[in-house]
Amino acid sequence: MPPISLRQRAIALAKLLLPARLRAAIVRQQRLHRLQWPRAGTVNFGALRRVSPISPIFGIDRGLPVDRYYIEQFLRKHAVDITGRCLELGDAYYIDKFGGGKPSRIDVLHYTAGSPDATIIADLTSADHIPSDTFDCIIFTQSLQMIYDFTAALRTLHRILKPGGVVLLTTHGISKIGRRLGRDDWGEYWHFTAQSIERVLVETFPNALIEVGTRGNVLTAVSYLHGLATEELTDHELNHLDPDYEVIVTARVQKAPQSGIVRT
Amino acid sequence: MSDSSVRDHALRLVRLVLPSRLRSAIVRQQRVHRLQWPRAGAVDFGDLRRLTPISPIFGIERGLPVDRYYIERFLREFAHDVRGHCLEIGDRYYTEMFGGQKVERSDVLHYLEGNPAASIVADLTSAAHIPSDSFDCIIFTQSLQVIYDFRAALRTLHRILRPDGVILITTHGISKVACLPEREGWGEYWHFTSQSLKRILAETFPRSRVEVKVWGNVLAATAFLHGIATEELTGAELEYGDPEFEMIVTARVQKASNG
Repeated sequence: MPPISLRQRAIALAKLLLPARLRAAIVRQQRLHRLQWPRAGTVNFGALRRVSPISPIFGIDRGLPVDRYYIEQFLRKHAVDITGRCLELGDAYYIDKFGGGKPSRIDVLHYTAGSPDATIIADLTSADHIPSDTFDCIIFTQSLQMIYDFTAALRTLHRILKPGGVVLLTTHGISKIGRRLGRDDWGEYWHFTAQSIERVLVETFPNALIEVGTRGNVLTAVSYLHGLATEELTDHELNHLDPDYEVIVTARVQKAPQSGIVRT
Repeated sequence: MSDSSVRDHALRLVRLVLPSRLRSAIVRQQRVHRLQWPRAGAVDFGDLRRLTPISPIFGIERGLPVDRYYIERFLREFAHDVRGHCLEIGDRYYTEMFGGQKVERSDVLHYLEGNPAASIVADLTSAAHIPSDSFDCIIFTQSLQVIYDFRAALRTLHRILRPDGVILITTHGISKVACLPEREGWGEYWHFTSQSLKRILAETFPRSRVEVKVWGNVLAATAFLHGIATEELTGAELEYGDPEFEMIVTARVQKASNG
């Protein structure tokens, strides 16, 4: 749990002690007499007083994008799971980076044909040609938001995972739109919350072990929207967790050790 | 559509003219030699270099929250639809604000029992007790994101709307998470994009006329995340529309005449 600030304590106390009507009246008086800190109208936005983002390409021209920092932090934490037969989308970048030689076989899945790295071409929402119970680990980063029928895709991932196998999933909560159908090969449909990810995974990975987490705070959310890079923030700023600001939602899902079918 | 900046035009041109390998090489050089503007590490955050939002309550103690600015702007545009028998969630605030004399009958729906303003208590995902073809107008603001089974809710809204009736929907695309089941009584599940909202409405409102629009830009989104109010931004700043920054997504949907 993140540390609770003095202001949060004061607000929690006010909610406990004061009736909603009185709280609303106080807020009204604050508005009327400009009793805010910083006072309304005096906030210094610095270089952020601009209607276009500082980097329109997520900050890859400036350093490591903020979302990548959180994704890599999550994958590093679960690097021990990246073992055996592994699958990643698009390329094998994270399997290579965090697998540490443990993977025995690497597959790369691509949605559209023509990618030289791809060993599997599939639309995960209908991918009967991928055999069941195949992978020990699936690295599934920043993809769920681009699949309209995400439930069908997650059911496929559950099916092709070996019993006891692990999916390492990340997706964004607060983000600009990165993909648009018509311009890119796929669209962008969902920004999930930890609450929806948890419920969706409970439905699609029956009896699995599910750990959902979030990363981010208001500063890293604003930095990410502007395309400011990790190197422009301090470690303390990056690692402060404010559960209201879900920049990245992560999930480690371990398929139930025994599948429905028992082979003798 | 938004105005496109010179930079956006230049980027589009670069994408058209230069192969992606060369573009990556340029970006790499920018990173290595810090060829950015403002230079990486030199960005002045002003008062925004802080880990907590300026207002933890969406800026209601500072003025009109930025999401409300866009919601009201959208509703004002379609105020002529707020007429006849109206339904709103939670209270009749916008029915009164935009409907005025055009409203003949006003219902208020609440999810939980015990709200004195409510004339209907219902979970929209299973609300068989609300008669079909009842309402000329449904004002459905900032609610879709808190309903896990949003498709079932939209099917209900389609069913209870009269033929030719209009539903005015707003929901957020970029926001902090505001609702927790243990705190508000309901959770928060989805931040939609214009692309998902269009497809969902095409599925749940067959043959209906659907107009989806997006509102916001990076500054408006930053202000909203911090709880900085509308009055602290200029009209031009609020009105600049950047389609990559879908802070609020709105839809006007008119149910087909033949149901």
